[in-house]
Parts: sequence; C-alpha cells; structure tokens
Amino acid sequence: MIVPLLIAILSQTPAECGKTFQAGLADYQRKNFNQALITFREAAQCDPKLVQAHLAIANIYAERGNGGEALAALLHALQIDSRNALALRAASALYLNSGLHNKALPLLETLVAVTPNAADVHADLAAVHAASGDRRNAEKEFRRALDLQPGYFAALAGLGNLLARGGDDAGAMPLLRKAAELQPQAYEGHFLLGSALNRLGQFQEAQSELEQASKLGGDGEPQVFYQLARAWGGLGKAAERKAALAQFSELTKKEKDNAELGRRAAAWVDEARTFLQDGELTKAAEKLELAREAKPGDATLLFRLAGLHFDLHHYGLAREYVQAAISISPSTWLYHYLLGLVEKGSSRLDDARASLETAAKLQPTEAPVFNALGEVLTAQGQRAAAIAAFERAVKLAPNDPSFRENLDAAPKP
Amino acid sequence: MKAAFLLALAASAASGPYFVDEAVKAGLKDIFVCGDEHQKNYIVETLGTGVAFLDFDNDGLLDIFAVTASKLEGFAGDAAPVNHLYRNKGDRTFEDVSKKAGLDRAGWGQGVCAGDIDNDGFVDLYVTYWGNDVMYRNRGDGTFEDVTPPNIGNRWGTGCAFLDYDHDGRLDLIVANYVDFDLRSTPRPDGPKPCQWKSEKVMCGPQGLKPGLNRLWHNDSASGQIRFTDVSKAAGIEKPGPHYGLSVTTFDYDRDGWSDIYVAVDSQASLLYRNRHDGTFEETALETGVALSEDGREQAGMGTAVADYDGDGWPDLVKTNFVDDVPNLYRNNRDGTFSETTVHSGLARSSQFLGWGVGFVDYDNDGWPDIFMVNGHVYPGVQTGEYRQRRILYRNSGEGKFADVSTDAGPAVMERTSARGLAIGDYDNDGRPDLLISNMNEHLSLLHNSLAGGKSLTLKLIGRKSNRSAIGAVARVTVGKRVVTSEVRSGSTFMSQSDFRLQFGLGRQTQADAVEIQWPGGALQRLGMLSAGQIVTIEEGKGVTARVAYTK
Repeated sequence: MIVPLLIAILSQTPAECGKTFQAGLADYQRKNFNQALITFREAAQCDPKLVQAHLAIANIYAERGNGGEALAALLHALQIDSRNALALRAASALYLNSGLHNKALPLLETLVAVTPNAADVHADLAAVHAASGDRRNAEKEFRRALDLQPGYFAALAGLGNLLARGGDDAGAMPLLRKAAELQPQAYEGHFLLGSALNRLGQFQEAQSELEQASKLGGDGEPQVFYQLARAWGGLGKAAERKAALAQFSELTKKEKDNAELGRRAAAWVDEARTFLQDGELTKAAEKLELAREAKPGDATLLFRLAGLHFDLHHYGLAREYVQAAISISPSTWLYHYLLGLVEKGSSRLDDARASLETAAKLQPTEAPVFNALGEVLTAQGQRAAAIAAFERAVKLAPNDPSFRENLDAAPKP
Repeated sequence: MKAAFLLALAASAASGPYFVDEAVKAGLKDIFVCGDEHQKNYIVETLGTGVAFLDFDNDGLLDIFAVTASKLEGFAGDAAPVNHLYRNKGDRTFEDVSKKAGLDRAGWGQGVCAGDIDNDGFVDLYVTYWGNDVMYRNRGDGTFEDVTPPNIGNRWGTGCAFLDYDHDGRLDLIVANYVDFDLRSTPRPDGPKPCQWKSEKVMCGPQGLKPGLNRLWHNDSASGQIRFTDVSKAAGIEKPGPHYGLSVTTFDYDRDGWSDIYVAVDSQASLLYRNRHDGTFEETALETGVALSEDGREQAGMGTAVADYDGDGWPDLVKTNFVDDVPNLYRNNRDGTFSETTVHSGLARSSQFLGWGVGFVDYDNDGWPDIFMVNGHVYPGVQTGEYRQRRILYRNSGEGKFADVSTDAGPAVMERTSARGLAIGDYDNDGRPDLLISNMNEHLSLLHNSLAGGKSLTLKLIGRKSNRSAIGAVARVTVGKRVVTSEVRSGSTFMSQSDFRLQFGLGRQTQADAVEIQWPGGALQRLGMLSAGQIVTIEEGKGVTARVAYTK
C-alpha cells in the first residue's frame, strides 16, 4: 500500500543500504513477504535513519493484521522522524482501531500540524475528541474536515452522530442522510442514520436503515441488532424485537467470551511466570500451553513456549513453536536466534547456521547470536568463518569472558 | 394549562440562590472517611458511603444517619471513625446521639437503608459493609440492637432496600454486592501490574475482579424474634450470575401491584428483577430496555432513582454513570418496556461528570419531579479527570425536558466535592425538600432549600395490614387536571435512604383535589380534598389520623 510512496524517497539513502532496501521491495513485489521483512530489517540495520524500511515493515505487518508488530515498526520510524506523516497516520489509525484514543491524540495533533489540509486527519482527530467527551473540539474538527472536503463520509457521519447525540436533530439529520447517500454500501452510515431515527421515534424508517446496515456487513456488530430491536419495539413488533435482542445477546456473548479468553490467557502467562521463577519448568509449560490454546496467534506466547521447551530439551516441540512464531513475525531476530539454538541442540547444523545467519542479519549487534553462530560453524569445521563470528561476538561484547574463551579455543584454519 | 401553570412559577424558579449548605451550622462537622484522600490504591477506597434521612424517634423531625468507611492502614487506638446518628433538635441543628443509640460502629461501612422490619412503629436500619453487613432493630427508646442474621456472610455490600416482595406484611431485604474483593491479590497502581485509565496508572477494578452476588432475604420474624432467611437462589436473584452491583431501587414498573427490583451495575448490564408474584423474580433488564445505554453498551451504573417525571402515572428511571458517558433517563412505555430519552430530555449535554447519588426531587414544588445528581471522580491523582466535581440540579420543564439550573440554585450546588451518597427529605418541615450529601473524606453537605416555589402537601403513610413503613405504597394525588404519582421506597439514590414521606408539589393550587393510596397488596384507599401546607398522616384502612402544619 505505502511501498510505491517509499521508492520515490530513497535517493538520500547510502547506496549499499538503498540496494538492500530495493531488494526488500523486490521481495515484496514477488509476494515473498517473509523474505521482504528480513531484507527490510537488514536495510534498517544498514542505515539507522532509513525510516522507509520501518514503514515497509509496518506495511507488511499491517496487511497481515499483525497490529502489534506494525505499531512497533511505526513507533520506531517516529523515533527517527517524529513528523513523518505516513508513520503518524498509520500509527494513529492502529491506536484508533484498538480504542486507544489517548495514544492516538498526540499523534493526530502532530499530524494536523504536518498536513493541515487533510480532511481525514481532522476527522480522525474529531473522532478522538468525541470519544473523550470533548464535543466542542470534536465539532470544530469535523467542521474543518467538511470545509476541506464537503463530501467526506467519515466527517459527515461523525458530525451527524455527534449532533444527534447532543439532541440537535435539525443539524444532525441532513448530515447523516447525506453520509448514507454518499456511501450507500457502507453499513456505518445506515447504522448511524437508523440510530438517530430511533431516537426521533421514526421507527419504520429506522428499521429499514438498520436492516440495510445489517445486510451491508453490520451483521457482526451487536449494536446494529440492539438498534433494530429498538425499532421493532417502536413498531410494536414483539417477536421481531425479541429475535433482534437474541441476536444482539449472541454477538455480545461472543465478544465477551473472546475478551474473557484473553484475560484468562494473561492469567495463565502470569502463573507460568511464577512457576518459572520457582524452577518448575514443566508446570510453567503446561500453563503456557493453555494460554497458547486461548490465543493461538500470539507470537510472543509461542516464543515463550518454545524457549521453555528448549530449556527442557524438548527440541521437537521447541522447533514447532518457534517456527509458528516466525511465521507470524518473521522479522523478529530473537525468534530466528532461538530456532538456531534449537537446531544446534538437535545437531541440525545446517538449519542452525541458516537461522543464526538470519538472526545476525536482522540484528547485527547481538553478540550471543554471533557466538552461537561461531559454535555451529566450528562444529561444521568452518574454522575461518567460526573465528570471524567469535571475533564479532567479542567485539560487540568485549567484557563477556565466554565469548573470549570461545575465540581463544577455536581451532585455527 | 401546563404552560400557564409553569409560567406562573417561572419568576420564582429563577430567583436563586435557594440552596444553602447548612451542614456546619447544623452541627454536622464529622469527617466521613473512605480510604486515602490523595491516592486510591484499591477500588474499595473509591465508593464512598451512604447517608439517610429518617425519623428514628418518631418526633416528626427527620434525623440523619451517616455511614463511614475507614482507611486501609487503620487507625490507632479508638481513633477509628464511626457511623453517626444525628438527632434533629427542631431548630435546624442536630446533636450526635450515635453512642447513646448504639450505632457508633467502626468498620468499612458502605450503604444504608431503612424500614420497620418488626412493624413496631420504629424504623430499623441495615448497614452494608465491606465485611459483614449489620442489621439494627430500633428498640423505640432511642437505642438500637444488633439483629444481624447469623449467616449474613462476609461480602462487599453496597446498595440495599427493604421491600415486601411477597405481600405478607413483613419487610424483606435486597442487598447488592459489588466485588468479591481480595486485597492481597488485587494489583496496586504502584505495583508491578498496575491498571491504567487514559494511560495513567490507577487502582484496578471492577473489571478483572470477581463480581459479587445479590442477596434477597425473606423476613421470617415471629413472636418478636427477628429472623431473615437467604432466599436468593430460590427466588431467582442469583440466576443472572455475579455482577458488580451498586445501587438498589425498588419500584412497581409494570404497575401490577408487586414490587420489582432494579440494580445499577458497574461495567456490566444492569439488572431488573420482575416480580412474578409467587416469591420469585425474573431478570428482564435487556428485554425491558434498562440494561444498557441506548447504543447497547454496558455502562458503569452507579446511582438510580425513580419517579413519574412525565406525569403519565407510570414510574420512570434515571441512572448515573461513569465519566465520558451520560446518565440514562428511561421513560416507561406503559407496556412493560422503557425507552431511553436521555438525549432529548437534555441530560446528555455533559459527559465530564462521574455521577453517583441521584434523586428525583420537586425542589420548586411545581408538581414536576426535577433531578439532582452528585458527582466526583474515583481517581484523585489523575491529570485527565477532575476528582472534585460540582453537583447538578436539572429542572423539569413539564414537557419532557430538563435544564441545568445549578448556577441559579446557588454556590452550594456548584460546590466541588467528590460526592457519593444522596438523601432527600424536608428536615425542617417547611414543605420544601432539602438535600443531604456525603462527600469523600469530608463532612456532609446539608443543602437547605429556601425557594419560594409552589405549594406542597406531604403525606406520611402508615401501613396496618401492609408493612408499617408503607414501603411499596403508591400515592396518586389529583391536582386540577393532573395526577401526580409517587411511591414509598427504601434505599435508592446511591447506597442511601431518603425520607419515607411523600411530598407533592401543587404549584399555585392550594389543595390536592383527591388522594388515592394503593397499599402493597392492592388495597385502594381514597381520600377527598387535602389542603396544601401540611404534613398529613394517613393510616391504612383508617384515613387521615394526623395533620401538622408546615413550619414557617
């Protein structure tokens, strides 16, 4: 999505790092996303000021739905360039999607200063103000967005909803109707219009708008059915009202169950941590396994489980979990490092070397990675390469005696 | 008719200030404690405490009972704060009779509700605690005895209310329980796993903590022996499962003659228990439309109050909520459901208040119940919210709209405290409702009402076949072409108890043309004209047994 924008601004990047970045783009265009992530990370290591590499990483993670990793990359980009509009825009969107309005607010305020004529930014800022109860500023920003782009859907719908909630029906209804007309395929417009009509007691039209919202993708949103129940109730249709409430309850229950699962998973992780502190690794692994079942897509959990099984010398399980973590988050050097250690532990030296080399590419400043790589290369009889790896480890961590010992003990070529 | 009625009052309604805080002058100087003043490490430090207007000695003057909590670090020696009973001396001052009455108990008190549990004509008390709740029987000689059921259990009681849910003439008891709270396992803001609110470290809860279970106690007292039996399970009270229950309000929302129960719930859907007339209840809040916000969102329900605000004869409901939200005004649709009218009533204009005690109070005696709310944040240290907030007085226009008239009402209403409990009652018997407020770690506020509004009539109902407190009795007063309806209730607002007497604003009318009482159990009693300006005692089956003119 944002990659084409990045290509244009690579001229200031050192040639070698630029080449690496271009290679990442090529990987991306070939849809080899895992490799692209690794290459972009390499480029970022090559040129610490290369914001575009972090943006590209964020872009891939965002496309995969991995908001946590995307956000981490964007925040990294903002550390390099705090006024980078792309990063500000994407990071604030991620915060907004997670309901973290407080975190989004300063980013949006900066973004408004950077891009004062962007209607969507004013609309987003307005939405944050509205969510925190600051109606005055919300209205101001929505109106600014509409000044800049009179047909901007989010601003029309947002301002309409804001006015409707404040009891200003005369101001709200034209905006909400216009929003629903402008984007007839967006369920949100019909939903907000239907809700406002309910408030006005215009239940027949409300019911029609809400049915439309449900058909257009709102059927996963409990609130659509709650409003529909209100409309049916207003129309005196008890059976239909009951059915809509039942649907609302079912969807709400699903949401709650998911949230509860998340809470339980967090509790299991805490319990596992306690077991770990007490040295009860097997019990800790059992708790982490429960947490993993609850949150199967959580790479951090998979990594922790893998680490535990590695410590328990369960290399098969450790490999399975860390590979799963890598498939979710391929640009995390730590996962590749652990996989390297697992493969080394199970004497799969070629695989160990490949993983450790990837880890070293992603994070060229971690001494333990080079030390482990040196050990694998030694076992493979690659004496010169092993010494080079040990030397790198010692250079990165000159005060660590074990790295020095390994270097001193390494067979000379 | 309505417009003329209101226009006639407009001049007086706008001539503030008319609420003045007389607490200190009245001798109410004790500080009511709830945790640390500046830092709340645990949710138990945030709820504050309840207050009550009640006439414990039957001298016709409202006395005050106020609950205190404590501090987690405790107090040295006998310095621990205690609950206070203040006797009304009849000159707008009070004397502390807590010790003499046997009510000077320390502990982590929370709420209070009142009712005559043994029908001896003296009002008894129930005090909720984080710990063991306490039931007090009023001996009638100015002292109270502890008659707590032995199996009361160690819980975190919050709101409570007496009601006669099975029409046996004895008052039963509903108690909300908030959190099954364990101090040891709850994270602190300064600990390794703090909770956050708007990115600031705050105390944890209620979400993430184990919710409590509401309890229903059936009054099995006989032969002077007080006995209450826990019937929560059999009566269906437990069926919705654990909830973060706070305030309790009883009312007959479907006008079938049987008391129903509403529990405002924090961070979950609120509960409405419909009385099935067979000793059991069915939870109907979602179907009825009073469980959630008008968007279908769970809210942080705090205080509740009931009145017929639109004059259609059916009880409506108001509920306060957390900050960044608005209160709910639920209008009774007269078909067993409610519609939320918060926005169009004018109550959705401010979302910066964290509301607690709320009451319908016809402060100007125009015959339309107005709304009074007290507010205050739960996090004293945060940058993103005001811990001390002003109160709000909303005037009912009579046409479904409420206007914030707090500024006009006076500095006592605009004063910023972190308020919690609220009780309404006419403590000087001048025919104007006054307001009693508990504030976090401060003394009480006693807002005396001096507004020269409309005329009023006060009814004191005494049950004979029904419970003596007449809780659940509904009075309908005809004023010209209007019928004003009100119900006697225990508990309500926020963990507090208001005056049992029913005060009816008559506007410019000098009399109520007719009065009808529907006693619990369904018996109807009709009385003729009653003049304004007096407190009239009506006994079930007998009629008017006493009349006392208002004080000047």
